[in-house]
Amino acid sequence: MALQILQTIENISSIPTLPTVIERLTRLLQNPKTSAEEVGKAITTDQALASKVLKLVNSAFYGFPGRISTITHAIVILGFSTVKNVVLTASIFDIFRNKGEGMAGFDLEDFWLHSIACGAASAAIAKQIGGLEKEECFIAGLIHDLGKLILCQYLPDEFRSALQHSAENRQLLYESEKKLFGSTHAEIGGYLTERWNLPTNLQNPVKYHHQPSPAHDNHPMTAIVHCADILVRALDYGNGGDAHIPSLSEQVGKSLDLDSIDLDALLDSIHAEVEKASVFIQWT
Amino acid sequence: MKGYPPFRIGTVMKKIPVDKIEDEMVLGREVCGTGGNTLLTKGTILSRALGRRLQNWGIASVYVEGEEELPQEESVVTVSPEELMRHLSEKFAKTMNNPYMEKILNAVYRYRLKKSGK
Ligand SMILES: [Fe+2]
Ligand SMILES: [Fe+2]
Repeated sequence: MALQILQTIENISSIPTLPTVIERLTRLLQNPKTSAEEVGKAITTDQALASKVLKLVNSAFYGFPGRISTITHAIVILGFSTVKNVVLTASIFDIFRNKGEGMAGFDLEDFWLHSIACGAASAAIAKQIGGLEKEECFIAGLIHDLGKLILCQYLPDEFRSALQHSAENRQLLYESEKKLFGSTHAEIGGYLTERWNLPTNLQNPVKYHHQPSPAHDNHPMTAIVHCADILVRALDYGNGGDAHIPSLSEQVGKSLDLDSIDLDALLDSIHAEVEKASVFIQWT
Repeated sequence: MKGYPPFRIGTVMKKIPVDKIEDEMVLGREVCGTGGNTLLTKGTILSRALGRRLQNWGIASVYVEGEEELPQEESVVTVSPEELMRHLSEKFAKTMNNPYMEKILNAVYRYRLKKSGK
């Protein structure tokens, strides 16, 4: 059954794709001789995307309100990898915003806020514990439940029954999905991140955010997203389709050293990050 | 001057709760988040979906262009500490044997009470 679900998805030709500029950027950034102008040129070939990128870098979210006028300027100030993350974020938002209708028990506005808040919370945790790139953690959190969008759009009957099962049996959505059709939104989202050729530090948090284990690569990033998902559910930022909260993995608690973390300060900083992410409120 | 409608310079505006926002309404004043950052600029064309989103973001009311129709009653939403605890306990129900979750529940409870109190 699980295989069947993945095969169904594999055969859907209209499944969302990332703009080709992302792949070009990845290739350009692998070459140390690439100049800011070349990267700028690659981005501006997609005018709509370029203007969104400028809007983002000039928002409170990236901390340069209204001061960056061109893509090349942005690269000089923010660096290649941040700009690439901004382009990726903008592209993902475009995909999220065009995903049609929700359904009973799965409101797209609520889901959207759950995703943004999870991204913001991931960034806040990364900031507090240090050592990981904040913008990348934001993206990982933002896309962690991507599989739900795919289910909602391409397998609506299966998804509807999982939502119902989860509400009636007070189970987490991924548990109901596993039970009803043998696969989960984490696997399906993970499959999409592979198809998009995203780096494994973005693939793995999507795949394992409900089953984090130090045995998988990029465990720190996955641990952050696992914890962020729990915190934003507790704070009721949006709604990802189920009413309960998963239990924090003990290993995640250890690897984030949750015993010595100042949770009050963390919750404040999550709120501040969510506020900054409100630039996405006008995303169209 | 008695008997004349009040003379106003600039845009005629009314304050409405975000759940009364309809498609095509025009924002009369900018909307700021609690941190003072601009969420929406004056003149933005609103929609029901945007209204929902503002609500999600904790914005209670906005100014839109247009004449006042009825006096608006202020609605204040407050959650009692008991209600909040009940809500959180229900959400956390299956996780209470996990000390980490207990710590999170307590911190979130404190945090949300502090927020709703201001
Ligand atoms: Fe999930
Ligand atoms: Fe989630």
